[in-house]
Amino acid sequence: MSDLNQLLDNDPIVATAGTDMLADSIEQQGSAVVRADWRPPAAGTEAALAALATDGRMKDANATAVGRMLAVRPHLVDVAIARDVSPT
Amino acid sequence: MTDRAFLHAGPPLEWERASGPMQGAIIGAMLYEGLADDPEDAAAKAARGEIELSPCHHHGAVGPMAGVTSPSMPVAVLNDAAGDGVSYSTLNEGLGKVLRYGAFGPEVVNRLRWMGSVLGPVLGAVLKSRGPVDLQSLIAQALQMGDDGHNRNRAVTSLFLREIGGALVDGADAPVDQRAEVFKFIDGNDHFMLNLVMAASKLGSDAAAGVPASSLVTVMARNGTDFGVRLSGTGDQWFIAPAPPVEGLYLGSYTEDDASPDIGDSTITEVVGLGGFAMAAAPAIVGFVGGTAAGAVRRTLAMYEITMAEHPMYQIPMLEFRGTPTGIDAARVIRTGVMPQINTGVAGKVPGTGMVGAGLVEAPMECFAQGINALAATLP
Repeated sequence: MSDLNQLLDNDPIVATAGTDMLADSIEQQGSAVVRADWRPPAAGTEAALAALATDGRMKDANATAVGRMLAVRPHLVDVAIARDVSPT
Repeated sequence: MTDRAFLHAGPPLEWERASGPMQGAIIGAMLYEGLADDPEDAAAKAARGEIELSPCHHHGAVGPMAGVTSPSMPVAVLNDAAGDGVSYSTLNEGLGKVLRYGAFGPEVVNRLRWMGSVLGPVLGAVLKSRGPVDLQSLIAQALQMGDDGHNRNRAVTSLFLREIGGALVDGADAPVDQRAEVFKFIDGNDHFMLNLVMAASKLGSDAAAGVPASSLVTVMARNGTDFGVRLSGTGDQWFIAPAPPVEGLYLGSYTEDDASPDIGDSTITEVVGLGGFAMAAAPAIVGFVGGTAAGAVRRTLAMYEITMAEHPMYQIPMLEFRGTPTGIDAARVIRTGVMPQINTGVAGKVPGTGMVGAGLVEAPMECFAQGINALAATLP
């Protein structure tokens, strides 16, 4: 017997995403709910997120960038006067 | 920098749009430089454009709160021992009536003069005598002693004083009374190391900049008017939204009505996995910025949702020495709605007031949304 056929034999556990309306309603009817903490991306960024995902370079680029961030070894070497050292 | 260059915190700003604490700090720095006779004269000259305002971040520098850095001020010089980066920051004045919080009274200017004539030269001599101080090692140790690296720097300041203690006692070429003054000044200021932790963070930020297609946040910075963000893949562009108000604890009789919006480059610490991101390491900080110790842990845990790495050296004992969440991914901020958490000080909105409190604030979503759209536009 496939798992699908057991659906009505056991108590259902419902996974929900997004607003709480559906989850609240199911819980009130006595069923267990697992709520996924999900919300849509910030308005107006959907196309950009899709383009970055499709392009595919972001993952490697991010690994390179954060690797450089973690590789620095900051040392305090001197105290000087701002006008003598700070680049224009 | 030129003799008329005045660096400031956050994204670019004009005098007219500057907040109270920013205008106050510029006035104080002009008095310190001898460019004005009194505060009114300084404000008039600044309004006429007699000084050039420019972000610290455009000059390899960072500054807490107003971040005003004028040409004669002593600055710490940091090198990256693993690369070729250099960064700068002013030296920390202490809390209360101080320039970076917008105060400009005689005690503020006199302290700045002492910092220029005694503190800077003595520290320079100490460093010449003993050699460079490994700041990353000190910061890593301090996180295990209850610091977050942004609003709690008591441990790292104590460690620094021990680190330079020997040279300060007998190695530096400076009069003994001056060396004693320097010891007492650093000992009396739990925030002394903030500026140096920030400059150390700036080295990481600069090293990570300019990687095409990367959504890594390299800068978060506020000038009291605007909150600005930069991403690695979009180079020098700023993505800007209004600086938000800070939710916090207020000193004495001050209230939120006295507070200026969010200000300072100190958010560079959150960019590299310190500050709000390392709050779980610093439960005692909630006595200064508000909230609960459990909430501090929750804030750090939430930041793993939007970061790319766990810092190999900055570890949190309470989380079984897990590395701090490091490297904010703007794309994940946009996708999850989880906003970068920041610990910060609060300046009085009236110029000349100084510090009025400290608290917690979230970076505005709008900056990250603009950034992601601009990053997508760089793709061929």
